[in-house]
Amino acid sequence: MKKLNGIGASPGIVIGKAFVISSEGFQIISRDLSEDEVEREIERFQQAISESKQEILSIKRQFGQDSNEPGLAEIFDTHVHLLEDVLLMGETIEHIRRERKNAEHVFARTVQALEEKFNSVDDEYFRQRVHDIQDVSGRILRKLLGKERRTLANLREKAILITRNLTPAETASMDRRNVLAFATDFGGRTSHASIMAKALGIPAVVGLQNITAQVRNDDVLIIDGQHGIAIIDPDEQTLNEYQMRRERVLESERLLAQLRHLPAQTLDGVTVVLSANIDLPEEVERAMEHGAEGVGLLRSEFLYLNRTLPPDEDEQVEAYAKVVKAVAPNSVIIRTLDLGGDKVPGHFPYHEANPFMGCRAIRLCLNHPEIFKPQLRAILRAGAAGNVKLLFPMITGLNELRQAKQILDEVKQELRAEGAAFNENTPVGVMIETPSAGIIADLLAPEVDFFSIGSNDLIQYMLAIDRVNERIAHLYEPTHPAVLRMLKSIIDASERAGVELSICGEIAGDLPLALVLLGFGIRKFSMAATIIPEVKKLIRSISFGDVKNMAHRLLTFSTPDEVRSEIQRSMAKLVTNYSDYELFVSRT
Amino acid sequence: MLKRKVIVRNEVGLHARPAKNLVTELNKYSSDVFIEKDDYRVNAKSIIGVLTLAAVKGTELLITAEGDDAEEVLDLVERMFQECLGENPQVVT
Repeated sequence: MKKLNGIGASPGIVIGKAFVISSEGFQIISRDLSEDEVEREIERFQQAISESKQEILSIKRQFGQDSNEPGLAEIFDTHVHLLEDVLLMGETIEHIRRERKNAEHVFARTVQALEEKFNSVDDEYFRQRVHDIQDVSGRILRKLLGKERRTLANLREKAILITRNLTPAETASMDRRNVLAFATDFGGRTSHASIMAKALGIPAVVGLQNITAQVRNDDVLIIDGQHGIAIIDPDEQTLNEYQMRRERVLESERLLAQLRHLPAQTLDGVTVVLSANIDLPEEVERAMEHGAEGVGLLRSEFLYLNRTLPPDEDEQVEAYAKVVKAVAPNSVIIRTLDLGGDKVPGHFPYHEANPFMGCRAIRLCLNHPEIFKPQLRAILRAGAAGNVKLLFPMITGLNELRQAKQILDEVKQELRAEGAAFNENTPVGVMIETPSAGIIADLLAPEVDFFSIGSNDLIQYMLAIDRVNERIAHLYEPTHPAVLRMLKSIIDASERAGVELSICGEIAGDLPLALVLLGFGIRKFSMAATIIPEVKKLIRSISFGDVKNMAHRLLTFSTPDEVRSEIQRSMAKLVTNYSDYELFVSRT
Repeated sequence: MLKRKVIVRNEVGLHARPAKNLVTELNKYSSDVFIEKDDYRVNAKSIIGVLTLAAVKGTELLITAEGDDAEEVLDLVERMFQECLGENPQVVT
């Protein structure tokens, strides 16, 4: 038995078998060879090496024509040398012969051992060489596995996914019916995979550092997404203990589900709207089951990922309308494309040094009207089916907003000319997720119908913290006084301008922080559907007057820790029913 | 088995380019050549092996060679390390 501690990304306890995906996104199976297969297998391995070498040389030639940068040519030379290396290749061949195992299995193991060696080196330069080895070995593995490679998309039986990192594209493409839980080496609480896991209700533990190196296929695993624990090959006592805990968690979920039809109303009569953030149209039913009153954020990117061409307009109308009809008469806020950053579809040739500060979201859309316009048309047309609002992401100033609205006007004219059915008065909002937008909320307000605070990015940009970098993830601190002041000022600006305001970032579903937001004056929350019942229960156990006092008191504290401990202290007093409080503490 | 001590003089250590230069030359010889740092020993004909040494500037390495041309190999290795393995020697001021 081995117990690993990581970051709890999505709650729930799961016991099941492991399905390990290598860094390249495919699974490597070990196979025994008969004696007469061995030499053929070695030939196959050598063939993969020589094909890889041809590829690298051809890339080098291509670069040689385009640039005079001698450093580039040198990288390729080094890679060719790696392909001839006695440790990497010689040892693999020797082991295929000695163990009579298939080439990909032996090779992947050799590479893994080398990766571990490099990762243990102190010097940064040498540690980074592991990427060269991964580059070269990935190329060879792809050749060896050919069409047989097993990917996330064809996971055939229920299993716990173990992988280094899950990109949004991978998360979106996996066959979710068979994913019991997932556990990754990298990632933080607010990385995209974590957000999606929460949205889909899949328990997840991330940031486990090296679980991929410690688990084999079909090992029995316990995943505790609540506490960020992964247990490999548990003993009987541990297994029993977790089975009992699993029962208790399921029981508390059943209790929370009974709240579905009750309003999210405080003891002193303040009513709050709780809606769901969703990524895929298929999630809407699950969101309704959890008591969502509408969709506060429909992220449209996932329609665009994992495919060679963007979805056409009619396909989008159909996808959006599905959600719109399901939640009617409540509203659906559709966010226009937030591609870029860590969400880059295959057909987009962007490689940026600083993708999160690069050409993403509205910037990318304004540069690519051929992608933006069909989406705007689809959103307007979906509005004919019900209550749709349109949200622009990543706005940093009025110019961008005006440009976007200008394109929206053009599109409306086109639709009018065509006589298409659409909602002429579709409300338009901006996502407040850059510090600049937050600071000029009063200037943006007169030109929009609503604001939606995207706290994940807002906090990331305010504190200059890359939230998926696990070395600094602990500095991502929503209780930082700067964040509280910013939130307060955005809320005040929207109140003064009479602009509708909602919050759709992670903190809306973080129980203690949700109370703070309520105290500051927010009445519309959007969050991962699975958290809605808990937030509702919390709101139903407190009095708004108390929460308001607490929230304002927080503005006098100077450090994130002081703020957080004050919130915790207050919560114990605010929540009238002590057993409820226990439930919250155990689940936060 | 013959032995020789050398010191890494390259400014950034025994990184990819000098390692490649060393390995390319050594692969022209038939002797088995190994490099030791502290108690860790690698095949000197493997660029990956050499890189895992993480030998920064000033590291002392023990080279061992066994085979018909062992003496010749060690002379070559010693000279190569003195000449910063084909990289321009840094001027010490």
